[in-house]
This record gives sequence, C-alpha cells and structure tokens, in this order.
Amino acid sequence: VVAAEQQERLKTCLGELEERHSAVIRSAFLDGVTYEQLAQRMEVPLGTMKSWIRRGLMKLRTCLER
Amino acid sequence: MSETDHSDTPEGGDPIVAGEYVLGVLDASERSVAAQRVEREPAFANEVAFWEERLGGFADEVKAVTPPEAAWSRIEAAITAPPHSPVRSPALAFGTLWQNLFFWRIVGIGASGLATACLIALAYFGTVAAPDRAPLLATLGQQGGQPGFVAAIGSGGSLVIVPASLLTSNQKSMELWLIPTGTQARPRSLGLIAPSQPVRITVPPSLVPFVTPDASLAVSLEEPGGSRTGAPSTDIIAVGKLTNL
Repeated sequence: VVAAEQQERLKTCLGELEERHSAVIRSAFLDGVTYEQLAQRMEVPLGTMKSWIRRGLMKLRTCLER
Repeated sequence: MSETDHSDTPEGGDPIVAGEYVLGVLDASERSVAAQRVEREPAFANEVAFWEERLGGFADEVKAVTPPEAAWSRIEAAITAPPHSPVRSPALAFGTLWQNLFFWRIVGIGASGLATACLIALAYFGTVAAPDRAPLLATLGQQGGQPGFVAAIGSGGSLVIVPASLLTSNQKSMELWLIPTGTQARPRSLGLIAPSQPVRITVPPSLVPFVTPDASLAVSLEEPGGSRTGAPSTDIIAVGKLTNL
C-alpha cells in the first residue's frame, strides 16, 4: 500500500513539472544514463541538461515533501 | 538559476546533489565523491534516503519479467542452495536499469545473490521463454566454491556478466576470458569487467564460434588496464563452464 502511494505521489509531482524536466528525470532514472549521455541523446548542451534536471529536482522535492 | 548551468554545486545545495546521485546522472568521479559523503555525513545520507524512498515509485514502471518454470528449475539445479535459500522473486522488475546503482540497491545484491544474478543475466536477453534461442549460462565459482559471477551469452555474441557476490579488486583490474574447448584452448580476452555492477560485452565476431557449451569463462586479476601479454595472469579468481539452460 505504501509503495502504491509513493508511486502515485511521484506521478502527481512529476505531472506538476515542465514536461521536458519530468521527461529527462524519468529518462535519467529508467535508462541509467549520466548528464553527459542525456545531453548527447537530447542534443542539448551539458549545461542545459544540468539546468533542466536540477530545476526539475528542486520542484519535485518541494512537491514530494508536501 | 539560468537556462544553462555549468556549476558543480547546484543552487539547491545538498538536497539536489543527493537527488542527482540517486538519479544516477553524476559522472564517475562525482558519484564516487557522493558515495563517500553518504558514508561520512549523516545529513547527506538522509537526503539520499529521501530520494531513494520517493523515486522508488519509478521501479514499478518497468515491465516485470517472469522467467518460465523451466528456466527457474535449471537455475536452481545449477546452483547449490546456501543455508538461507534465495527467495524467488517471480516479478523482479527489469528494464534498462541494469547499470543504475540505485536499481542495484533496490534489488539487493547481497540479499539474494546468485539467483538474482541469474535472473538479471537472463532477463537481459528477454529470450528465456524460447529454448532454441536461450543464451548459454555460466556460473563462475570462486575458490572455495562461492559463486563470483553469472554470465549469459546470446547466440549473436552479446554477453552480460553479473556479480553474484560482493567482490573487491584491490586496485587490480578484473579481466574476463573465454577458454574454448578442444585444441584451440588458448584463453581469449573478452575485456575488463566491474566487480560491483553488471557489464555488457559484445564478443568479437572472430571469437563467437568458440562460444559453445563446455567452453569456459574465467575472471583473472590483472594490473590496472588489463593483461599486457594477451594471456591471463595466474591469479584466476573465478571460473565456470558455459551450459545450455
């Protein structure tokens, strides 16, 4: 039950993020790839990828803490 | 925070670094720094625990793999059941997660060791249900009979080798060798492997014909970077025969 709640909460909070932010966070976790690999895959500069994920994580954390 | 971010320390500080660590996006050196901080700094370890717990929901998103009964009975026959028999995990989640450190912590390599390693190795191929295309499997035993690794090789030469217990290499590199059967039994290097995570290797086409049942796989300890002589050192730490599942 707790696991299901966690999953639901994660889904809700990811839904509150900008779509590209939640997409790269999901992709990073599920595919086990680094910033460098993600940046290459999405064809964006490394700094941009870091910015997307860090912004996403900050917002995600605030939501998950609620 | 600007649209691009080149800083090593993110605006959100440790909570975000912990998130990056659990997410697995840090490069090797950043990851190793974070891993050391988890050991030494309880506050940072708490941040990591927060993310591990919250991001665990992702694990349920990946497709569950259930090996057929036949595969399980062969796996169970191939391994000597330890006093605390590994618990069957009929619905172990497996996706492309195999190189994700967090995934490894979820699976718990120490908890169900060999059976988990077998399952991961087989699930990697996704062909366990088709006996004619089933990969060859080897359990590489260490001295004293403890399993060290499980490896599976598909017919096309794709190989995955999964640690079945926690090993340390003391600054040395671990190198994987294919030992063909018969007169051409000179060991051939398949490359370096990692003691703590699964490694995927493509067997060179020239060596694929040597991948047969009864050929063996061995892991040797070599100087950093691997054997320079083209032959394994005498320090063989694990060896096992390839068998049909």
